[in-house]
Amino acid sequence: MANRNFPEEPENDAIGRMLRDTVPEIHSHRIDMLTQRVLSSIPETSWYPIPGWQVSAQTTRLLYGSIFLLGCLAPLLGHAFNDLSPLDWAFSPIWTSPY
Amino acid sequence: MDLETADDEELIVLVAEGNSRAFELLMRRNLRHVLVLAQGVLGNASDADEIAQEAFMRVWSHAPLWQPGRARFSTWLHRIVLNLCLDRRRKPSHVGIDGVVDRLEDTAESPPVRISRDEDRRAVTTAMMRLSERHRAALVLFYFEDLSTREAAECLEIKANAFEQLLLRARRALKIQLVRLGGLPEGEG
Repeated sequence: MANRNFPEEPENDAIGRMLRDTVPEIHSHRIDMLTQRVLSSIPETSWYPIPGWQVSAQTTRLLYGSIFLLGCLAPLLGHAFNDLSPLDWAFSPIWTSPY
Repeated sequence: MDLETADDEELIVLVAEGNSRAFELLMRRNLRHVLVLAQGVLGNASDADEIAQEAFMRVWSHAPLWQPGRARFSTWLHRIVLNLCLDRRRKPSHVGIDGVVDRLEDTAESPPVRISRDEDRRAVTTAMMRLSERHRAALVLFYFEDLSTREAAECLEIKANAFEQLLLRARRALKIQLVRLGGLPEGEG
């Protein structure tokens, strides 16, 4: 340990010596155990849609799942609201659509 | 990039990209410091373990916010740990002397020397727990973590001369407590 003394602290200062003797000893097995515990609790992958915004893999799956479901439902909604057959709605080119 | 030779500031950039190997390395390098700081401020090992886990989970989730050149990684990490410790101290918790017990089990010193040193450590641990959080944090950063006054001041987000005053007051407060506990003869320190 570097011998850094506080400006007003004498070289043989009793309090400084006692404090430096009180530094907790950290065993390597404790470090290993904590490292494993933290590593097992971090999300497997992460996704960064915009800088500074991190979402977990679960949120990513939920978001992509919702987009997929909407894609599947769109033809059915088109049929329900515009009286088009789902296949016509889904596959007809945009310029033939009634909008 | 060779991860083993990369410094902490390079590793945190990789962590922000989701590199778990860089995260593990960063954690192994810094966990000891985090535990010493948390255990010194909180006074017991089990709370320190929880703080260390929470701090590194925060490093993982906040890594994309890391701004290179603004502060050193170690300073940023110390700030996270100190903030978590101060939050934890607001909740009721038990005060232990686990660090002293750890040493009792492992030390190779002869029994009379060991008992005397352990009495000193116990007295210092008890006296420190009677200080305010800021006083304790100042003592831990300077004496346990061996930071310079400038580095410790950055961790507490104050100026270096303000830190020196804080440390001076912390030493005086600790001395009063040690004298009361009989761990320090009057006039010493």
